[in-house]
Amino acid sequence: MNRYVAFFLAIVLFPPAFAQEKPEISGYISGMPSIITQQSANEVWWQGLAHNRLNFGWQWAEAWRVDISVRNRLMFGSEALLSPEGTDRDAGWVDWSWNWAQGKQVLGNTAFDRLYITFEKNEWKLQLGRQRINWGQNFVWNPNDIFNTYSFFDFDYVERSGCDAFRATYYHNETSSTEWAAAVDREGKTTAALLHHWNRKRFDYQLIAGEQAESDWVLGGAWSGDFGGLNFRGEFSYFHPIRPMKDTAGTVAVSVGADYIFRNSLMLQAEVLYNNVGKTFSDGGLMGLYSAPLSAKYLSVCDWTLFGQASRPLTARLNASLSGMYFVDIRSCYAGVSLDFSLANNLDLSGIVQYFSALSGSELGDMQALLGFLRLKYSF
Amino acid sequence: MKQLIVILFLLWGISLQAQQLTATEIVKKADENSHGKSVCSEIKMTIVRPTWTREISLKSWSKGDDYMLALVTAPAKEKGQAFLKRQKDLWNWQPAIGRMIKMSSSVMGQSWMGSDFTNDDMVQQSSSVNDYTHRLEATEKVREFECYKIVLIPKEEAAVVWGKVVMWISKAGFIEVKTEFYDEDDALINTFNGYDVKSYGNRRLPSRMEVVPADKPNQKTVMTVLKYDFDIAIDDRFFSQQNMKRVK
Repeated sequence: MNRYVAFFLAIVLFPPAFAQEKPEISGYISGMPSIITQQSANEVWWQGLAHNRLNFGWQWAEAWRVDISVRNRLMFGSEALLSPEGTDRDAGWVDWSWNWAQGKQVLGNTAFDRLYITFEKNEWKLQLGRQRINWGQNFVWNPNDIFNTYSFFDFDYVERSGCDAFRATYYHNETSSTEWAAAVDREGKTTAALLHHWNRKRFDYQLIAGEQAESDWVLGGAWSGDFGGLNFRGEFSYFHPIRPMKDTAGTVAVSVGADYIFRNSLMLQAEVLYNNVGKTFSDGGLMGLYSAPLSAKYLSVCDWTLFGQASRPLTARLNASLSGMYFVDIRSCYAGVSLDFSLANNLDLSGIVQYFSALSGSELGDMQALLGFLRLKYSF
Repeated sequence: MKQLIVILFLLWGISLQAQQLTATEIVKKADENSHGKSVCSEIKMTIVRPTWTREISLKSWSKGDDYMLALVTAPAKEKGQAFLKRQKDLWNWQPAIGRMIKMSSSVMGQSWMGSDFTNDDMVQQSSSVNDYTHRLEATEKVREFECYKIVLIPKEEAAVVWGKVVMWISKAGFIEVKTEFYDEDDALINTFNGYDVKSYGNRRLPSRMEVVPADKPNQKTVMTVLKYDFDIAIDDRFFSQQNMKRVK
């Protein structure tokens, strides 16, 4: 662990005399007030969030590069929405997250979610450190995304968390590659897998094989391509317990989706997920969806989930989108509205409403939750 | 003697024909003039709306009709995004989420990053030479240029955004001076104009291009050429998924 720290410090402090290019710095700063009402709690919670992201990239030699991204957040407001334990230790092998302000109604946190070096020469690319390994092909549910999981509803964190990993990629040609990656999580458990990606007749395909968190064997694959203008994607994984191998049932996650853009710029998207997890909504009801799922094995809270979205630029500066999800087996739904307005070249204002509700006859009873967010974001 | 006159007359006719270019040849020459064998360019795009403007900077490399790689260099939010075209396949690399997205042909008619240019204008998935039939309709003067007016009708099997395209190509230098884009109902959608013709090596090309949507005459998108390097030595392997993630 300490060696990991020392290793990167050495890289950052590497004599800049050898640097071929200047470091690149980018990121954003945003302010986002939000309110949450949950019928069961019969209470209204609010939160203010100041959020800053800094990306630092430095190509210090032809083949060598270092990337570091840090996320600084200051949250204040209702105590029920703050989870200091959750942010003080991240999910990686090395803890790169710190709470620097912690009070009854305030929480300040800094977390490094990217911290890795890249060596790239000819057809080879090697990456070591905290990185995002994104093997997903679909829009909402990604059974192949076995290294980092995320919640679809967490719209304010598109970059997603990273994992502590080593990844080797070999490019066979311009459109085909093979990757091997291994990551260690906070419990010291390893996830390791191989991915092969290729293109044939206007479709991209991939196959993955490996093990997840030393508990399951994983076999999966995905496709993505054009079907007469329709973007057609699919992704599937089969998880089978390593111990005991025999007499145990596996878990299947399959998502199939399509999207189409009409002449008037209206984009329609649909996706279906089958994940034989049974009904796993007990902790936190539908709000449990908000936290990232434990693994790519558990992508929803019931077997069948449907998703649909319509989005369209209303003017060149204003984009609107309407989305919905239906949790078939527990008769519950989600509806979301999002408006994004470009105030200036690098300044955006967004309004987001998310609504979760159990329908009549649902086992969840009379559950309803409404979340509203207003975000001002400056990118640099 | 009579026969000789007839023969001479015929020969004269044939030589005239040889000088007379066909519509397809004219479009081909204009295409060659603006693309060369390969080209590397740096472009600034300004989206102009009645109350605001937005700027996008772009670096792109292309080779023939088949290969293209474009990198967005500004604004900050979109910086690092890349587009790769290989024949009819198209991908978009989004560095922020670490993901390569396969793009379908239905995005071709859509606005490129909120501008009045379409995705097809930017990546040129359709070819003005191969995907259309051409008809020379007239010779007309556009601003200071004597032009061939050519009507392009998409071939049946071609995946083309437009119902009809009308091009004005200058007689001298084969410069695309003006182009009108029509939908399938023959309604004018966009008008392209090329201004400020400059010399780039032995070519002459507009250094400022404007697209104005027909139904919104008070808005436009202006593309300014900052750099054009023609016929650079570039390998097919440059246009790869590996390179789209690291190109600068």
